[in-house]
Amino acid sequence: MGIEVLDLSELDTNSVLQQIEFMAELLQEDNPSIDTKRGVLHDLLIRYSGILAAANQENIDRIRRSSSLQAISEDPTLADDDIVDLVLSNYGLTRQEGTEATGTVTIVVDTLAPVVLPAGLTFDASGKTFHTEIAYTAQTTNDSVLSEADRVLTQLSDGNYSFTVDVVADAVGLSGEITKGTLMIPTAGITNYVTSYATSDFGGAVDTETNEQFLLRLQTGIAAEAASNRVNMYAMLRAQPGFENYVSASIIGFGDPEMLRDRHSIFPVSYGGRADWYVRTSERVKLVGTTLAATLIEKTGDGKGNWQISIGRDDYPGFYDVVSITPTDATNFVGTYDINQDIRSADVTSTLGELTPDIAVAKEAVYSRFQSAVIQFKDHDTDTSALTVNTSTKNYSVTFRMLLGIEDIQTIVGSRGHRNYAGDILVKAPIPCFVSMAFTIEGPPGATTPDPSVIADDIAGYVNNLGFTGRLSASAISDIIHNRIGSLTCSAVDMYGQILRPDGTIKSLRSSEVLIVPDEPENMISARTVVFFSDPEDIQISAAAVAIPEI
Amino acid sequence: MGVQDYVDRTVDMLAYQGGAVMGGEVLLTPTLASADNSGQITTGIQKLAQRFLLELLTEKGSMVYQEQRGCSFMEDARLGLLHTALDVLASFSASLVDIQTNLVAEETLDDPGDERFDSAEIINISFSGDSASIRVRVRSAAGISRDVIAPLNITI
Repeated sequence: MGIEVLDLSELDTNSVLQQIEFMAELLQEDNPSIDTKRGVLHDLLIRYSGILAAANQENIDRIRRSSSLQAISEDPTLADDDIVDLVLSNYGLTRQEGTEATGTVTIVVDTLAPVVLPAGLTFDASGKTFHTEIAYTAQTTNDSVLSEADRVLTQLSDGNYSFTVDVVADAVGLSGEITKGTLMIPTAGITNYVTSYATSDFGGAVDTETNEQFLLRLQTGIAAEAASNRVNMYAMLRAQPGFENYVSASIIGFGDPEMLRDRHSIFPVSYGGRADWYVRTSERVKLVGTTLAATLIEKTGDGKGNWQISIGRDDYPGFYDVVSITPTDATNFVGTYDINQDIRSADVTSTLGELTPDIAVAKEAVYSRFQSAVIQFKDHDTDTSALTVNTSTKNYSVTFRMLLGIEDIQTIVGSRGHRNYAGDILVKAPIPCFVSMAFTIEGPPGATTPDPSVIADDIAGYVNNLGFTGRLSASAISDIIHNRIGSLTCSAVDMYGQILRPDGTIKSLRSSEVLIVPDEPENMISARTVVFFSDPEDIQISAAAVAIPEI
Repeated sequence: MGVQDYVDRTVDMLAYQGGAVMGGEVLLTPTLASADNSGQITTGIQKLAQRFLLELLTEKGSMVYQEQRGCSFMEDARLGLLHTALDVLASFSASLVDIQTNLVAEETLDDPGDERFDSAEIINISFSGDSASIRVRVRSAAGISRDVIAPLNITI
């Protein structure tokens, strides 16, 4: 917010009335013959003097709040960014500026012919705009590729051709991130164009640091960076390159009911020395796509078969789940092959220079870098009559949902220099509760409704920054909605959450009031281990005209 | 009342200027000063009548931070709801509740009787073209009344 009051209607009513009364008393004392309680002088002179005095007082208060570290800490939202920057510069800290999301667009054309894309070509995707920074040329052969700006057209299984170009979001911050497969529509014509979509999740975007985040960094910056208590451990994490902006973290240790790893002895008591560190490294989960070879494990009666993919612990460390398995190069394939089994296990093979945490059963390793997995699925397209079980293989496009960086943090805390000499630390991605929601914006016929993607971004930003709260209230979502829709109204918010338990089962939550994380310490499920994830694509916003009679 | 009755009274700027006629009829002009008049002050029943006019001509809710000030009379006029003398009377009567509440709230028993509001009534309404002339009698707690002609151009 700006430091200056720019709108006289944004002042506190009580403050204004007090200032008006104060002005009237001052004027009355100075000139007892003037009627300062009411009338023209009061309404035209004293009243506006009081409003302006209240505005000045508000300006003074804001400067005072912004200049005091204590006041800033008590309420960071009221402080002016520029002055907070100045105050915290005394501690050698500078605010981290936001960056734009970047990613790759796959463009499909129907003819094998060169295609030229100019620099600055824009694409629209889910209400967001992206642009190319350089001119690209799609070439028909590898021999024609002379620079980074030349791309090769690749033939697809459906007879079309595709090439990729890099784009950058126009807007700074996470609102510019889109997920793999999102349709991206060019705003200018492309020769032989068929379609275009996001090749993979867009990334690299960072929101400009808020005052709250800036102050949190100050607090952890002052703390010793060591694996001792929680504040020190957070400071240690924030001091690591690449993790300065981790979103939230929670540490489960001795005495916490969710801690299972310190009860491995034959006695049913906790003996300490173990810590489970749940780190949310980014606001949104990443969709990471790759091509993996699957092995045919069973032929089915319909001539098709069940296939299996093995995922090692270092392949996609700490991944949450596999969201899709599709044929490679199939642009018209919709959905995913049915996943029959997702079997997790623990791989505690020692790593040179790292302390391997004490992990006894698979569910303790789930969402950590020590998990491995076997995924089995049914391919209802491939004819297996000529294939051999346990021998034949085929490549598939597989998309994982995961947080990045879990294995890097494990490496840091497992190193001799960082780890606590009295125990081990197991770093995990937080247990996810993936949230979708739906609501209707209502207004009179002809009313202008705001851009739904902006509302969805706001809501997702709120949900993804909640941290380990254990509760997601519909009233808070309604508040965000009302900030955008003005005098329009919104229906109840239908919220649906799915917690992916470490044991592989799913716990569903549904409410139009509040989603509450259940207390299941035997499954390591509690408000201290579960976080909410929201993707703007999973927020369904509809608009409805309501009949309001004329009176 | 004589001039001595107004000694030590508090005064206000005269925003609706017109001849000072005790108990008479005054056509008011909304101005603080004019080419031949550098401004006047007022007190007594005239100050009360001016306060009454301010409330009557202020749309309720239009004064930020003091949304209770004013009444619905000018809103009715602005919306073109005043077509007949009966419409004006009905709107005025409805507005009088808010006006009385607001005026009395500003007053204390220590204020002079002729500056404290008692009642008001419309004593004449005349239409000419697209404007209406409304003559209002404002009565003070001291029993003194003053007739004012509101300078209104309203859509009828």
